[in-house]
Amino acid sequence: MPTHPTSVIHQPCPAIEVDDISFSYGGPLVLEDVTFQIPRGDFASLVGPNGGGKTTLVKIILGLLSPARGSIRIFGEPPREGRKRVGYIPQRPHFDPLFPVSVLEVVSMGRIQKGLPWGFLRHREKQQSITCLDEVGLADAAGMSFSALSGGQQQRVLIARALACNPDILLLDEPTSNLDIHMEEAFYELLVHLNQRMTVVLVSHDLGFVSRFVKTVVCVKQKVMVHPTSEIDSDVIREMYGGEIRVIRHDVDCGHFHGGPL
Amino acid sequence: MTFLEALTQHSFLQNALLTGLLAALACGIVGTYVVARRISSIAGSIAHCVLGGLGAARYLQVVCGWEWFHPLYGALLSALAAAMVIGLVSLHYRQREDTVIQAVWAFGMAIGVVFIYKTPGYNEDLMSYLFGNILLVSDNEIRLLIGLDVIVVLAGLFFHRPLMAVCFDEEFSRLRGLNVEFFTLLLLILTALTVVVLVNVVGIVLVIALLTLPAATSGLFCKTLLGMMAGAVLLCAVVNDLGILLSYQPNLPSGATIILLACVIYILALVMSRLRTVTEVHSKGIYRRDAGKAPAITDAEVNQQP
Repeated sequence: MPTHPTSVIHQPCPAIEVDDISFSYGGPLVLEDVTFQIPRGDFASLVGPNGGGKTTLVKIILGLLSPARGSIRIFGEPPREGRKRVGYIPQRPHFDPLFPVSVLEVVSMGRIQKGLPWGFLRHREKQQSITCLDEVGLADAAGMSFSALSGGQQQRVLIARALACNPDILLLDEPTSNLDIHMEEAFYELLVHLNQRMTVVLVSHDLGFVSRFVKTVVCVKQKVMVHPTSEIDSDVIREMYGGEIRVIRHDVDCGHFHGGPL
Repeated sequence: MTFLEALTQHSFLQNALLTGLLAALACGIVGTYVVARRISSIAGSIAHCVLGGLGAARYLQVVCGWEWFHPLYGALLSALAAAMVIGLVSLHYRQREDTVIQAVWAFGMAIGVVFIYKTPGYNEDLMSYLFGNILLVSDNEIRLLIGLDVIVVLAGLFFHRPLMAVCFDEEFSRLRGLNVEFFTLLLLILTALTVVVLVNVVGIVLVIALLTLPAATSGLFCKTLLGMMAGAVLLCAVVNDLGILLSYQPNLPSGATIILLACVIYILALVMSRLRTVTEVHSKGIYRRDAGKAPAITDAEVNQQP
């Protein structure tokens, strides 16, 4: 596992350590012998075709699913402990679009902690939440209704909610599926900015765009391969995926390479 | 005799108005969660199960001589049991949730019918629980309602943030360390308690309408749960007591009058909010999902990030 310059190792354990995971929903293996590490400070992308096991892998990392075999460590701790340090941003369609909740309330959900979830928003929590909103450029929208925002704005509110958890890892599941291209650009710039102080892990079916920003690419299609982006020049990509990047963006050829023995 | 004269003379009318106000508290708070979480079919199932508890309690009173076992206690127990069963199914066996909800619904009613049939004597008052009769609420029942109200209001407000978080995004709440199972069951238990309160007002069959309509009406104008709750409590209090007033002179059934009133208000509010949305979109250009307009806040702010 090559060490990236920004992940200067002060501490021994990587941000995420996946060791020999296998998982199935009762049928064929969705994930098989998956082993990889994401070092601290990395900007990693989990890419792969739909149905390739990306979301399953995310749920295992977060401790929402338990693997049949293997182990996960987040900063050296098991998922149920380590996930407290993860700011998770789910896919947006997951929400009820009419749910009556203000932007500030959504963000302040990130401040909820085990042991003190009661009552109403305290002043300090409100300030912290607004600071997080400011970071994604939506401080003015604090009082607005979450459901009245556009898809891109909701996505940023969810990032602010994740930031309100004070995370060391930001984990995003298909964040760009509802954004158009020019919004994606701004969105990734925001992630690059956040990557200066935390590890960013991005799940995407869209390597083509991502590869300009990320440092490590983790390909997930039942098995897993890790590629430092620095090693991926156009020749390598062509060799890996058997075609131009455009082909990968349509999820056609990822399997061509990874279907074979690792 | 006018309503006001009657009100000063008859304590049953005073009790009825008081019951309407007490019910509005629980109804507005829990109804808001029910509407936001979209669990009105669960509430309906719990409500209909109450007939089983009422029937069984009356049977025990008359046939087994358990004088102290007021039908409302039976209602309470059966509502809580239904809430637990549905809650556990929805947590652990979600694929068949809708089937179980409907089955519990029918099972509770069937039990009720059997017990009422097998109880000797005059059981007409049990049937009044089907469509409610707020004019029959006794002092004892009011005390029970106050107790239920206190529990529902305190829990609904005290656990407001975690309940909101679990309703909005269960997965994220779990990741933040909230006990999602506990809060899911808590919400259903609060729903069960509220249903028992409302059965006294409008009866089993009409409970869902009173639980959801004021909250849904309020939700048309409020963008947060707390605002919606306040509006729903107010609205529910108005329809309850206005319904009693309107039904008194022409001798209409009070429960049905209350529900009709709630329906009319909801429809009017719906029309008003549609009109308002249209004018807002035209005048301010505020983005709404259903109107498909451009966002009010541009994405330029993100680009200004260092």
